[in-house]
Amino acid sequence: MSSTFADQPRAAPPMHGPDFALGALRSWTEHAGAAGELVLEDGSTWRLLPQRADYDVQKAFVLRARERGGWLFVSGDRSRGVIDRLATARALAAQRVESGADGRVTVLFAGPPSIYRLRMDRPEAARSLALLQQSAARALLPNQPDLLVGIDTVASEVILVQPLPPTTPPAR
Amino acid sequence: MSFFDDLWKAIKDAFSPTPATAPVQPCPCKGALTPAQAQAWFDKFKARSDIPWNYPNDCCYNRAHVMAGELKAAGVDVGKAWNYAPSNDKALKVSTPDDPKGYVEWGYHVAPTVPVIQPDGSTQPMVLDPSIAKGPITPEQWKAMQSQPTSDLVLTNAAPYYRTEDGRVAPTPGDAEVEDIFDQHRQARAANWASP
Repeated sequence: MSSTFADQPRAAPPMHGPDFALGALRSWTEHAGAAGELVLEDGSTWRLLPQRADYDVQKAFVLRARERGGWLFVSGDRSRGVIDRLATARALAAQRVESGADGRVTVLFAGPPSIYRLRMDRPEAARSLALLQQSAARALLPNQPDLLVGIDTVASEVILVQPLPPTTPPAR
Repeated sequence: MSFFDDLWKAIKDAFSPTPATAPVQPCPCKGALTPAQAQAWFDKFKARSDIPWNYPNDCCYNRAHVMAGELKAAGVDVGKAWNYAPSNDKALKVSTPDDPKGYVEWGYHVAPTVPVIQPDGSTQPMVLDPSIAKGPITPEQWKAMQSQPTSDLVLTNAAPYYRTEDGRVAPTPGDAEVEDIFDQHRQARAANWASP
């Protein structure tokens, strides 16, 4: 019997926000049958709906942040407090930032081999680009990160960039 | 002269009076592998479920480090092959079903090399890269798979964990951090292929 497309794994959709946040985990609570509630250090609250097929996969990012420390990258709707997708925020240094004639901006970080694009129609794009260019000018190595970065690896997109906080959040 | 003296003289004459200085000659292939051994190492690495071969978006430096460490511990004269794209616009590009886009674009890529004994007794460095290949391949074949003719192929020893194109090297992380990086990448892979 031949395989069908249903047998093939399906890729997750790209992050669609519309809001994005980088931050340390303040708390995570779960109640049977209810949404998991994630609170970041900035006080923002985000709910992971229990009916999601990928609930455990998304929750794993929260548990990782709780057990090992580090930052989370949240894609979701801030006004409703609903999570679209989660990821581990990366502490990175930019190595090469290029702006093409077509306005396409691409980034190579020190360490990760993939080239990511920066969409300039994102609200924070101009600030992210400035931070990336400053970082690249420093010619840092992977063990010298100066940025906290939110990346959507499905779309190969750098979505949000902030200066790296001075201390790494501890495990909780 | 007695019979025994004659016999002793005959025995002594049958051997060189100078002691052998190197009873075991060094093999010119020390630290090298036969093609079958190289394939066996490749298959062994490919079968490792803890190494995220199916996450080509990232992790090559960590995979290369772990493979190189195990080869070195087994006495193999391991090195690394690095391939650098000249720019983001001229990225290395590999088609793969393991990325949601169906391909990956890299600024660089790295994998371990091993010397493989050729029929004429010489050795040829071969790249072990289960993330994109089905068996050991030459560095030139490995570079060609990355579809960027103007890329810069550099062969080094096994030491650099991460190396920039201009030769700057980052310190090697400890075993716990190496394992943590694998864990991050396994998690990212799972999320990239999970429907909400």
